[in-house]
This record gives sequence, structure tokens and C-alpha cells, in this order.
Amino acid sequence: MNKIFKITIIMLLTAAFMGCEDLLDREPLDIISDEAVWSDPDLILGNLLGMYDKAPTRRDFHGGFPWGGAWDDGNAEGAHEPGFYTTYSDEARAGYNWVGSINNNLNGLDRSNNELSYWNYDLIRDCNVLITRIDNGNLDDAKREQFKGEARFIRALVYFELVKRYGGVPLITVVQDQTTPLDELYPERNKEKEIYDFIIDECNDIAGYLPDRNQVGRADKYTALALLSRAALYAGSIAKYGTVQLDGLLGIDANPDTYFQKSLDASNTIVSEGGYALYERYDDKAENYRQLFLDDNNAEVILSGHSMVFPKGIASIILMYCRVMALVGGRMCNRRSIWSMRMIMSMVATGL
Amino acid sequence: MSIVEAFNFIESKTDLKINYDEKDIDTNLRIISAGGKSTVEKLLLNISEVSNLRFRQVNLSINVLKNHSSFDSQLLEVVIDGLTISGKVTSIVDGEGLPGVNVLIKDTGQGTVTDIDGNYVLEVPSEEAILVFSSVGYVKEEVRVGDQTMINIALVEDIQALSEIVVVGYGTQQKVNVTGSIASLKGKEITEVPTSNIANSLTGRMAGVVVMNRSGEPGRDGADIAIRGFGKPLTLVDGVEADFTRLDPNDIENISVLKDASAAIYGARAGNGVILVTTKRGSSGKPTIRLTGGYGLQGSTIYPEYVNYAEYMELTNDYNPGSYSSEEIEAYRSGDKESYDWYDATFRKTAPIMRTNVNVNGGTESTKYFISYGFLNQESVLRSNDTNFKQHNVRSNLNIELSKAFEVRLDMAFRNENSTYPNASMENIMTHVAFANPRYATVYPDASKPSHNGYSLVGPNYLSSQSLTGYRDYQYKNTSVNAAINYKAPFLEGLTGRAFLNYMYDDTRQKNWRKDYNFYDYDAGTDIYSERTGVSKDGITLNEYFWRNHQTTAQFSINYEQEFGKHSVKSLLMNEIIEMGSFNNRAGRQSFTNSAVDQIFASSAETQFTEGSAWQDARVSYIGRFNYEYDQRYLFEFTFRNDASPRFHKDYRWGFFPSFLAGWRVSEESFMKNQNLIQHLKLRLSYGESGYDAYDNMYFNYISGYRYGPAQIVDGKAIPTVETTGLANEQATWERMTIYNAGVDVDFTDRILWAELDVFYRYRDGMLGQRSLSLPSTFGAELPYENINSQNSRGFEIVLGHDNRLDNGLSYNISGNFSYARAKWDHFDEAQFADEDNKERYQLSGQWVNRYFGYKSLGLFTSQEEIDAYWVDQDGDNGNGINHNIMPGDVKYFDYNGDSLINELDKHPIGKSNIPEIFFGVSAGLEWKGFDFSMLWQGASGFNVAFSAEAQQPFYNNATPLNIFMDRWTPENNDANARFPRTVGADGSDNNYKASTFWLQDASYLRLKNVTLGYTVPTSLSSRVRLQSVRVYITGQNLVTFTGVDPYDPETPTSGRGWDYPQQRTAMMGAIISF
Repeated sequence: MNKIFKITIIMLLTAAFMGCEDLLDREPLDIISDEAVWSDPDLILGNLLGMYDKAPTRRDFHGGFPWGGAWDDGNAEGAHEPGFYTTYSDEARAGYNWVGSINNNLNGLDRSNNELSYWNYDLIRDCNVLITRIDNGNLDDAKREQFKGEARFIRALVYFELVKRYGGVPLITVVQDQTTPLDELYPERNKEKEIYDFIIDECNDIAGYLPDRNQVGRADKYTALALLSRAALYAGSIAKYGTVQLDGLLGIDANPDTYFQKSLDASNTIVSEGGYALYERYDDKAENYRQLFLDDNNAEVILSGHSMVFPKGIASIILMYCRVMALVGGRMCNRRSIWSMRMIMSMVATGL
Repeated sequence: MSIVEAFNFIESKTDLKINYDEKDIDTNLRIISAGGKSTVEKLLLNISEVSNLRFRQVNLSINVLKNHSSFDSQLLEVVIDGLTISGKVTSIVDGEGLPGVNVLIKDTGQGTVTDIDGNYVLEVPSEEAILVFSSVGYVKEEVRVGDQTMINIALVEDIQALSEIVVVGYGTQQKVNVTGSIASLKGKEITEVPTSNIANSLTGRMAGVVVMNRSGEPGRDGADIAIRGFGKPLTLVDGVEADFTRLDPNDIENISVLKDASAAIYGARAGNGVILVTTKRGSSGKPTIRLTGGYGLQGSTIYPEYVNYAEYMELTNDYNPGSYSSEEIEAYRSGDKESYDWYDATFRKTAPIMRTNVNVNGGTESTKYFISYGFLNQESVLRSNDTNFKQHNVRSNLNIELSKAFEVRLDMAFRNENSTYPNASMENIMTHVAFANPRYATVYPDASKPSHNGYSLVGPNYLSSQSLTGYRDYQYKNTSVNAAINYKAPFLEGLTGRAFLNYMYDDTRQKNWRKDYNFYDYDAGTDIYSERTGVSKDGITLNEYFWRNHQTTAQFSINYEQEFGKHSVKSLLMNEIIEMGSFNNRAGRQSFTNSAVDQIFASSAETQFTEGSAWQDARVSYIGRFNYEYDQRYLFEFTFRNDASPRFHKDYRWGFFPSFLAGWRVSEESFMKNQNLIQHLKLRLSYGESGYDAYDNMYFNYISGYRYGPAQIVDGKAIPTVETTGLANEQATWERMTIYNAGVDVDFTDRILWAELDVFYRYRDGMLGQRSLSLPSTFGAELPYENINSQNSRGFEIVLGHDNRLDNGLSYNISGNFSYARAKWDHFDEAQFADEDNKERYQLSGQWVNRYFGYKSLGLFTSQEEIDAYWVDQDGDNGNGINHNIMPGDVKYFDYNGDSLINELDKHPIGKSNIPEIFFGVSAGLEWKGFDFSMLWQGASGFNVAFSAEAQQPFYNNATPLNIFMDRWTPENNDANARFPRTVGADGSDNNYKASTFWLQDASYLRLKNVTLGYTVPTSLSSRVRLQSVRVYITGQNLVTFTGVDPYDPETPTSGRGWDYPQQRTAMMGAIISF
């Protein structure tokens, strides 16, 4: 018997000293490697859709909810607090007096709270990564161009949110890494005009090859034109009414009419070729406005985002449903772009 | 015939007794028996010739001595002389005879050992002889023979005996030879401590082991353990990484805490120290069955009190004068109208706790077993009694000797923890207690109609009931199996091998069932109940969670131990492989139409939700240890561990962690032999390198890739998205900790005084951190974590003790331990501060880690004149005039930088963190004629708490104030040092509730951690009913606390709002019966 044991032990020891290092090649179960992502069309799409999820929508600006996410295990009360925008504009007020938004409601905007700030170069980087790396990605050419165009659209959308707030910002269109020279890592701010022109040129370019209709929730030709139209309208207004300061970091020194014309042309294309129209289903204007946000994919909606985990009408998940990306076409300037989250929620809760 | 056989032969044929040390006998030698008759003398000379042994006969006893030099020519020496002394050696604990006690004649080396019943017979040369009785685990006794011929003696158990065996990393050592800083505890010291979590039993018992109990909630009442104030230590049970806090204390043989380089053998996991728990094993002999049972009551250490309604109105009138008339207030004050105590309606004063254990221990020479079953039932101080924790522990430890060379060990342990809670969390219940208005009745005449608290529409007393709100159930099962083969090489003495395998897995099933519920209004006039509207009804929901973790540990080792004259060597080489993984999934459905069936199929799949996660990890290590001892005086140890983990890049995953330890037993030197004052004196020095890698952000930090993010809906379909994990750092690797330790152990004669002193310094290098400001914000990504920061900590521990035994049979001991530790940032990667003030204020490098920042309070303003005269702008709103918001009774702050403005720049370190710098315990024990009494006082200092929100501010969010707020500033109580500022409304005050010295409390405390009184029935009585021993005891935990902290327990999480389940004190009575 001793012999058997000796042999067993020797075998075990040998096995132990030889075979165990394979264990060290374990990989994390929740991380997909770079190579795997770029060699799989579905994962490339997942990457692109992730950027839509992070794109600057009204959802980003509604402010914080005191209890975080809407889905919980049922212990906490559902979060039904309105965000900052709605409280600034006096459309809503918080139900709890310790929620920050009540103070916004009472005292107005406090600049030091940075509630209106937006500085999402992370997403710009993600777009730049996709635009660069997709060239070696495993996709057919048509899809590759389309995905690239969508990433360029999202990037332009981010720059639009930035330029609205800060005027000229550094325009970064390549993927930087830690070894990038310092003068590129720390670029000068571009002029406000350069940023607007970039947005307009980009939209103009991608509108040339994006499909007429994309899946609901993704950008297409008319989405790009809608952004172009809005950006050009802003740029024209700045050129017309603003003053150039700080060597062009703020203000646009150009003929405003050129911008207005671009805006008008783009909007006309949307209406005449895109099949989009103002939503005029109800005579009652209030009801019509309400239904605009509830009537899925109506003719006025150019781009919308949904997260339909549950059917409408379940109170606790309404927040997730209300991620409508407010790029509502047509009356982009004359409609208040700030809308009431609370109003929407109450409507959904009672109406559907 | 071997030499031993020859000795046996002589003993069997004559009255002679031969005393020898097995070490001295070469078992391979054979003596050729001459055949026929021989004499003892001839036989011994014969042996002497071949074996290098010599013999010395004293009366009927022959001592075998090793012949060290050829000059020892006298091979047989016969001393016929002296007196015959006989007697019995017993244990003071149970009066049983003690076998195997050495009885030696002092300074001669001659003596005998006691037989199985503790009897001995010994010849001594003269009346002047002194007998020395010694045995492992007992205090040595010396008796002068005098005119006695019968010497009976009862030996006292030596709890801190030097001959004690201490468990060290991957082995054991005699305590006298230990060179590291190791605190140890025997299992039996904590078996009677009435806690349900072993971590809480350790508090104050071991120097340098900081234990903080943050919550008393059944099933969640564990404690944070910090060795020397470091982070979470590595804990191992029988050599395998595992949680020990829910073991049955009756299964624990001992606990060792490795605090310095002695932990380094655990390499990359050991940087914060190591706790080793060893479970009991069987011993040969007939089975001993041991029954333990205890029943007790638990209650909160501190019972916060809220205001009654009269006080509520009074406080409201403070900030909103005239809200309530004095008649109204008086009606409640006098008791004409009733105020209700919602805390009291929700919590009861005591809750039962019960535990039992039965174990059996025994075996033959070749098979030994220890089998144990334990049960714990802990109820809660919630009146609903719907929080409950039950635990079952089963263990079976087997040793089977297959042959001289092979031994197999098979240990199986199973633990089942069932805890159940109301669906409403403790935090939720406490919130509604805090919001409960004392004007509202806690229970309506019809108690089946839940009453609400007047503010938040629900009542905590009903919310804490499972029948109303549903439940959260946890079922945790842990299974661990150890299998080991020990091999003793027959061809080389001292060489052993071991193959060890452990497989452990645990499952947790959690089920959350939330019901819909109604609360009612009651109109006493009309006796009508009406449902409250507005109660949040999220629908009936069910969520089920399942977790599984598994871990496989394999160890293969070779040991060699040998003595060569005065040199003694020991070595260990080991390969350890650990593999582990985990997954969890979760499924839920909402919108159940009724609560009749709490199963997942009882609702529509339309509302379902699932989620899951998984991870895996592994570790490969090569370990070595070498000990060298010279003459039991100079002790050296070297260990190393080469550790690898898949969490790091191939080129950076290996870490080498060495340690060096040295000890000098000064008391063994010849120059110390001629004094009687110091019995034992040892100096210790150690240096060790170890690591730490239990960071989440270290997890595969080297891989750049993508993770699944939230699904995005396109065309109405959910499509998973992926998002980048950010920049990777290929070079990320182990954090390295270097620890230096110096120590002294000293025992004065008979342990009249004994002490252990340790001083340490630890340097943590390569702590993970992100470089600051090295990349512009337009870069679009954060720098990965790199091994860039460093910290150093220092501290010391002192243990002092005194053991004594008086002639009347009273023995007592007292000991105290005191430890201090504090850490400093050596380097923290941060921006260069241009401003000297800011640098002093915010730079972390070079500063203590445990700093708490805030303003310095100058007390309260007592008059408008004082406010007007104060030139410092406290409200920062100049538009309406300086300090226009400030009123008498508001906090006055010190303008540190003298700029006449109170802002962030006036914040300075004003306190410390919530982990104590100083931790101490003092224990005392008494034993007398079967009675024993022990108590343990424990305290901590050098830390702070600052309660917040409801615990700081009356009417916070409209919460009901605690009654401590009655000590507030009022115009009548115009005291600059009043305990609380003037009362303000629910919106609070921007001025008064800033972090400041006004709110910071020194959390120092001293508490009677444990007190135990026991009685062991004399063996003479218990044996009559065929019981081996019977013991009864009463014990209490956390009985008395001295602290300045109010209104919660000093161990409560800092900045707490009092929403935690309160810490518990416990009284228990129990019995232990062995038969």
C-alpha cells in the first residue's frame, strides 16, 4: 500500500509544480477584449449604441433624483422628483423640502452648483475611438460608413452642447494617448465659429450618406440635417446679435444670413423630403402638446430614445421610459426645450 | 532486540524503572542477546558499548544519559541513598490525576514521570532535595522535601505557558521559540462569551487587534477587525482563506494573530496581518461527550429617546413662536392628553438569544475524531420579532493513521445561516421612527388597522412586521471539506510530506417579497377608520437572488526537522494553488395581483426582470520557511513567498515577499542562570515584506477592453451595449508592505509579572492611485490606477500581566493590553499647491491619514451685540449686510486665516477618523475551589464621531427631535456653551450644521466587555452521577459603558443618523456537561 501512496504523492507533487500556471491565464468574465469587440459586428454595434445611451439628451440635464435609479427591490419609495431644469423654469417643484431642487425653485440658479455644466470629452473620445478603429473592424463597407457617420453625428451633438455653454472649446477629433506631445494634449481653445462650422460641416457631410431612415433610436440623414439646422440657427443668431470677444472664443464674425440660409435649407429638406411634419393631431393645443411626447414615433419626432424595460403605466419605471431624446424637429427654436419630467410622468401614469 | 525492548525487558523482570528520552535512543541499533541468564549490569554495559549511552541508578530508578564525550568513562553509576517519596499530582481545575507530569529533583536531572492516574514514586538523595513538578500547559511547582514522605500537589493550568504551542503560518511553533509578533487566544477563552459573532468575542483580548462592532442586527452583527489599525486582515480557517466569524466557538482550538513579518509567509494577501483559526481535533481515549447550552437576553446598549408632544410643541415654538398655545402644551405635559413613544412601540427592551453545542471527542491510537453540532437562535429587539437569525454548524474532523508512515485527515464542515427580516429595511424602519410625531397614537383600538406616524403616512411598528410588509429571507449555506495526506519518511527521520486539498463552496439564496399595505386614520369621536391615501404602493413584487462562490485550495509541502547537537533546523517548502469563482443571478417579477402566493410564477412574465454577474480568480504560490536555532538561545527564521495572480499582466504578476526574523533568549544564557528574578527573557526582531491586493479597482486593471452596459432600445428591441473599461495599466502590480518589528518578552519568577512589548513601523508602497492632473480634461479618459502612493504607520503594543496563587487555594491573574497605531501619507499623488495655506490645509503627503476637517467653533452667539461686534462674515451674503441671517444661539466660528470671511479656507483638521488609534483591554480572573470569575474591560480612544442629520438637528426634514435637543440654546438658556444651538425649522440652518468642533464628539469609551462567573462541580460529586465534569456559568457582554458619546453607541458608524440596528448587550446563563 505504501508504494501506491508514494506514487500518488509523487504524481500529485509533479502535477502541482508543472500544471498550475495555466490557472494564471484566467481572464475576467465581464471584460471583452479590444480584439473581440472590433472583430464582431454585433459588438461594434453595441459599442455604437452605447454612445447613443451616453449622448447628451434631456435626460442628462434633468438633474439628480434623490433616490437614484427607478428599479429597486420595492423597499424604497419610487423616485418621483423633478429635475433642475423644470424647477428653474417654475414648471415643477420638489415634494420634499430637502431636495436640492426646491431651492432652485425658490432661489433660482446657483452658478456654483454647476448644475448646467456639461463637459463630456469622454464621449468625444469614444466617438474618436470608433471612427478610428472601425476601419479595421469586421464590418461590410456600407455598415462601416454608416456607423462612422452615426459616431460623427453624436460627436457633433456633444460639441453643440459644449459650444452652447462655453463658446469655443478645444476641438479634438483624434484619439489621444499618454504619449501624445504636450502641445497636442493641451490644445488652445478653438474659436466659437470654428466649432459651429465643424458641427455644420460634419452634419452636412454625413447627411450625404446616412440612410434616409434608420432604426428608431438611431441617427439618419434627417437627424443630421436637424442638428445642422439648429446649430446653424444658433450660429446665425450669435453672428447677428453677439459681439466677438476674447479673440473669437466668443462671438462669430461672419455673415449671419449664410448660417440662417443653411438652417432654412436643412429644415426645408426635412419637411419636403423627409416626410416629417408638425404634430397636429388634436385641436386642443394642450392635449396636442401632451400627446406629442406620448404618441410613439409620430411625424414630428426625428430622433427619440427609449428604454422600455416595462410596459408604460407602471409608476416605478416611468423614469426609464422618459428618456426621450428631445431633438424634436420643426419648431426647434420656438418651442421651450425644457420640458417637465413630472408632467410627463403624471400623464403617463394616468393616461396609459 | 532493540534498546527499548531491552529496557522493557529489564522493567518487566525487575522492580527497576528506566527513565530515558526517546531522542537519545537510536531505534535502529540491535543488541544481541547473549542468551541464558544475564544480569542487568551486563545488559546495560552491553547497551552502553553499542549505543554511546551511560546509566545512573538511584535506588530503583535508572536514568539513561547520553555519553557526550569519551571522558565520561563511568558508564554505570549507582547511587543507593535517600528517601522514597510518593504522591499524586492532580489538576486544580477538576481534581483529576495528571499523567505524564515530570517530577525532577532540582539540579540533578534525575526524576520520574507520573503514571496514568497521576501517581509517582521517587527516590530522593536527602531532605534538602527540591522536587520540581512540571507539565506542558501547567505552572511549574517546586516543593522542598523536608520530612514529608508523601507529597500531593495540584497544578495550576498555565494559560500563557511558555511551553504553549502557537499556530504560525503553515505550521506550529513553541511559544518560547516564536520570533514574530503573534497574539494568540485559546478557543476555550471565548466559548462562553455570549456573542453570536466571533469577531465580537475578540474585542480587547489581544494586543493590537482593533475590533469595532458597527451594528447589532441579528445576522449582521459582525465587527470590523483591524490589526494594528491596518485594513481588513487575511483570515484563514485550518489553513484555508475563509471567514471564521460564524464558526461555532466550541469548535475552535485556538486563534493566532500574526501582526508582523510572521505574516509575510502569506505574501500578497498578508499586508494587513493574518488571523489563523484552528479547529479542534480528536484525541485518543474513550469518547468524551460535551454538552453546552446557554440562554440569555439581549438589549440595546443605548436606547435613544425622542421628545414627547409637549416638548415637540415647545421646540416648534422656538422657531415658530405661537404655533402652540401654552394651554395646549400644558395638556400634554400634565398627561391630560397622551403623547406616544414610537421608538418604544417599535423596539422592545430585550430579546432572547439561545445557543447549544454538543460534541464528541475520542478515538484510538490510530483513529481520532472530533464531531460537533451547534445551534444558535437570535431574536431581535424589534417588537414584531420578525428579524431572526438561526445558525447550524456541523463539523467532523478525523485523523486516520493508515500506517507508521501515512496519516489521512478528513475534515468536513457545514454551516447553515438562516436570517429573516421584514421587507422594510432597518434604515427604512428607523426613518419612520424618526419621522413619528408623538401626538399620533401608536396603536388604534382596533390593532389590526395599522396606525401611521402622522408624517410619513406609515407606522414603523407595523412596517417592521412581515405579515404587513412582506419579508427578506436569506439562506446561506457553506460547505468546506479538507482532505490531507501526511507522510512521515521512514528512511530519513524528520522528513515529512503533506498533500492538502480544500474545497469550499457557499450558496446564498435571498428572497424579497414585498406586499402592498394600507395604513389608517382613526377618528376617535366617530370610531371610524379610513384608509390613508397617498401611501406609496409600488405593487406586490418578488425578487429572488442566488449567489454561489467556490474556492479550491491545494497545498503540497515537504518538511524537514532535525536536531544536530545544539543545532536545530526546520524547513518547509510548499506549493499552494488557489482557484476560485463566483456567479450570481437575480430574477424578479412585479405587479402581483394578490399576495396569496409568494412564488415567481404567480405574476405575469411581462413584468419580469433578470440580472447576473460572474467572476473568477486564481493564485499560485511557492512558499518556503527555514528555521535555525542554536542551543535554544539564538533563533533565526527566514521565509519567502513567490505569489502570482491572474489579475496582473504576465510580466508583472509575480511578487516575491521575503521575511527575516531573529530572537535571542537571553534567559538561556549562562550569565542569567544564577539569578532567580527573571525566568524568561527574549528579544525579537523582524523584517518582512508582504502585499495587499484586495482592491476592486485592481481587478484586471491591466486589460483594456469593454464591458456590457445598459441595453439600448432601437426599433423597440433592446440591444446590449458595450462601453470601454478605460485606459489600462499593464504594469499594475502588487502593493508592497514592509514591516519592521522589535519586541521583548519577559517573565519574572513565577509570573509575578510578565510583559510583552512590541514596536512596529510599516511602510506601504505602490498603493494604487490615479495620477492627478497629469492629463487635461479634454483627453476624454481617466488615467488608470498605478502603484504610486505610499503610507507609513507606526505604533506599539504592551501587554502586562500578573499571575498568582495563594496558599489558601485562591489563584488569580490580571493582565492588560494597550495598543497604539497611526498612519501617515508618505506620498500621495496630488497637485502642487501654490498657496501655502492651501498646502498646509489640503496636501495629503506627509500628513496623518485619519484627519477630520472642519471649522473651529467658538461656542454660540449670546446676543445681537455680539453678532454685530463680530467682524467676521459667516453667511457670505454681503448683499443684505454682514451676518444678517445670524441670530443669538447660532454657532460662532473662528476665522482661521483672518480674512474676515468664514469659508472652506477656514477648515482645518479638528479631529480623527472613526477607527481608534488607541485600543486596550484589561482582564482579571479569579479561581477558588471550583469557582471562577473573570472580567474584561475594554476601551478605545483617539477617534471621533460626528452624527448628522436627525442626530444633529431637531426637525431635520420634519423629523421628530430626540429629547437631547431640549438642552438647546434659548433666550432663557443664554449659554454660549449650550449643548445645541437655537432650534431652527425643517430647512435647517446654513450656519449651524457645518462640520465643526461643535458637533465632533470624542468617541473614547470604556466598557465592561465581558464578565463571567462560573462554578465547576467537584469531580467527586459529578463522578457519582457518572459525569466527567459539570460547570454552570452566568456571563454578560457590554454590560456597562462609559462614554461621552450621545445619543448613540460610540461604535456606531460615524456621521451616522442613528439608522443602524443598535449595538447589543447580552446576559446569558449556561451549563457545560461532559460525560
